[in-house]
Amino acid sequence: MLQDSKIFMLEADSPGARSALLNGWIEVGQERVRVVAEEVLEGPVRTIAFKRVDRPRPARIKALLVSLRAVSLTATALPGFAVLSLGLLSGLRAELGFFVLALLGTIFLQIGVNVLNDVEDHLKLIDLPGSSGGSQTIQRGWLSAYELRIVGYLSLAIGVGLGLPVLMRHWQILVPVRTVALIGSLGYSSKPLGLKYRALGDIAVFLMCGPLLTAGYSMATFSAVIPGVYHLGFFFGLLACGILHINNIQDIRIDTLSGARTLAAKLGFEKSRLLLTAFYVLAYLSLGVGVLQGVLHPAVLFSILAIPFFAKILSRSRVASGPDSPALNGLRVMAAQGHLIAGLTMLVALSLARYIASSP
Amino acid sequence: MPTPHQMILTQIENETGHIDFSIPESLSLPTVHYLLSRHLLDGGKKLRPYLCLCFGKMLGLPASQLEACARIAEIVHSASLAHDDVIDEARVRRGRRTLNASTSNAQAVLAGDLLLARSTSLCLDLGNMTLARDLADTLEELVAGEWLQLEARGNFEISERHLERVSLAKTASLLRWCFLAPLRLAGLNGEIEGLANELARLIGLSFQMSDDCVDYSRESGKEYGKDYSEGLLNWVSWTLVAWGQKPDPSKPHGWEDSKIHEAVEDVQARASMKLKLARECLEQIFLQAQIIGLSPVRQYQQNLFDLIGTLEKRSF
Repeated sequence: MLQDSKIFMLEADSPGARSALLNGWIEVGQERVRVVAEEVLEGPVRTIAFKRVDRPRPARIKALLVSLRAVSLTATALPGFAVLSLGLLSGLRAELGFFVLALLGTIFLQIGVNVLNDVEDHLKLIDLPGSSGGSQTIQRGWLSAYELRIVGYLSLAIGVGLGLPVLMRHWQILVPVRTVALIGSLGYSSKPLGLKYRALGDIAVFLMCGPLLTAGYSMATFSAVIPGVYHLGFFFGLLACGILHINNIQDIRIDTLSGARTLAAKLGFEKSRLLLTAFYVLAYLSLGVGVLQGVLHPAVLFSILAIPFFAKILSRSRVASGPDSPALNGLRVMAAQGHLIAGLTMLVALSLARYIASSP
Repeated sequence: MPTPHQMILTQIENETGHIDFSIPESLSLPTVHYLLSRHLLDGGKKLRPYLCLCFGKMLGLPASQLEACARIAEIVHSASLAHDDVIDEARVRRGRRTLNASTSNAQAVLAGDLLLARSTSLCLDLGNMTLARDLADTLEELVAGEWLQLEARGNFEISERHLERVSLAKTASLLRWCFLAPLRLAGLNGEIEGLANELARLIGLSFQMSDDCVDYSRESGKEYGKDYSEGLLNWVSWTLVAWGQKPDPSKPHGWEDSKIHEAVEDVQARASMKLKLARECLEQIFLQAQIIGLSPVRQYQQNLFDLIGTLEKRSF
């Protein structure tokens, strides 16, 4: 091991490197030195340069909350609340207990998948300090991969456990739904499926964050797939696709060079921008169609308050010179914010509508 | 006793001093030839030709074709400087007035174009299409790096990924060609090509990081914090933003000197780490050269180690 007091270079396959990657420390004499993998030399002998972490860690709870990527959890929570609000507004009787179980189960599953993805990307040295992937809590030295792995598996176990009562009640429909969702989550970027790299990632995300999700919530809460659920599913699914697609647009050059066939890489930059526009247009169209068909309450259209976010995303993408353009920086966060605002405004509007409808 | 910096300069002079970096006088544009010789092709550290020569000689390759590649590398670098000076509206380079300051932006751009045309012509004379394709790709990367940097002016929300992309395109790409050129001439590829790419990436990034640290050096003789004053985040100022410290318009350089100093230390440490890995990379290249039946030469590997050592001490 080559070292000075701040840098430690280890062969990637060595027990020392594997331990440092997993545990976030290296033993130097009697002392355990906190380190992060800072840089990798790719070659016949893969070498990792670990850097000593000098900056103090934040409180564990803060580190944990950041690792959970709490903001992203709204992607699976908001559709659930939207389905609940829609059903209540339609006068249906909701089984709130099962709704809460479905909601928490889905959230814990998402936490588990998020966290375990971060762990695997770290151990495979895909995410290094400064990369755009993951929560970066491992790369900042806040938590170790080992600690996060425990959190991830625990979350998955809790998610599966919470979802079991719901699954057992409507197993004919929900087991296939949950299975597809699980396969999609775990096989999104990992082998052998690697859906993302077969240009199937967008479809997978659309289904998992869209119609499958809303149909599942509907079954759990109302024991039926209520009218309008698929329209809501299309809406939220397409917004989720937008978040993902922006990420893939920025990776077009890297994915093309490495032979990874994401949908964005296959389409190229110009057509990918058009597809992004299509996602947002179709999302709102699905709401409009639902309202016109009478299966969605017009209150859902309050989600147009999020349109400025999407308009800004599209306008910045139009001025970008290519996938590496700095104009695309921050668009993924903006898309997530748009998703959040769209969902929240819809919820507030549906709740207000229900309150007005139930008032004497 | 000569300093490491002086020793490196001597080594560079020994390797490149006898090479004629001028270009043949153009029949239709003799004035351009004079301007290029005066403003661009004279002087400079000749770092890229030196890297190309040392790397090739380390692999035990003959000097004759390596010298042609060294010339091409320097000509391309000079062309990029001519264009950079126009984009940056620079008035002085290497202690002399820039070409655009002496003539005009239009003539400086055209002079740079002429150098690029000559470099392409020289490369084609070597008769190696892969090498020519590599040069074309390198030129495209140089443009991409400048373009992306231009787009980032005034944007203080750029990502580290963007910064790295620009550094790789503007700095590492030509270094990559300097290392690939000897391999192409010898018909080598595979693991050794991958390692050459890595070497260029590591040295290129550390070089850019060191350059950005010099931007905040009062001893450099250059304008302090020039990048920030031009609306560009470099590795140092980006580090400050990444630490949650947005620039303060009331401060002349955006941040307090103590914070800048802290960020400079951090960037220097990162650059140093990359150079340590570059040493390891060179060891692997040497080993790989032996495995594939070449007769690599330790002396030139040591020359490259010495250069890396000098870069680590930020004295080059």
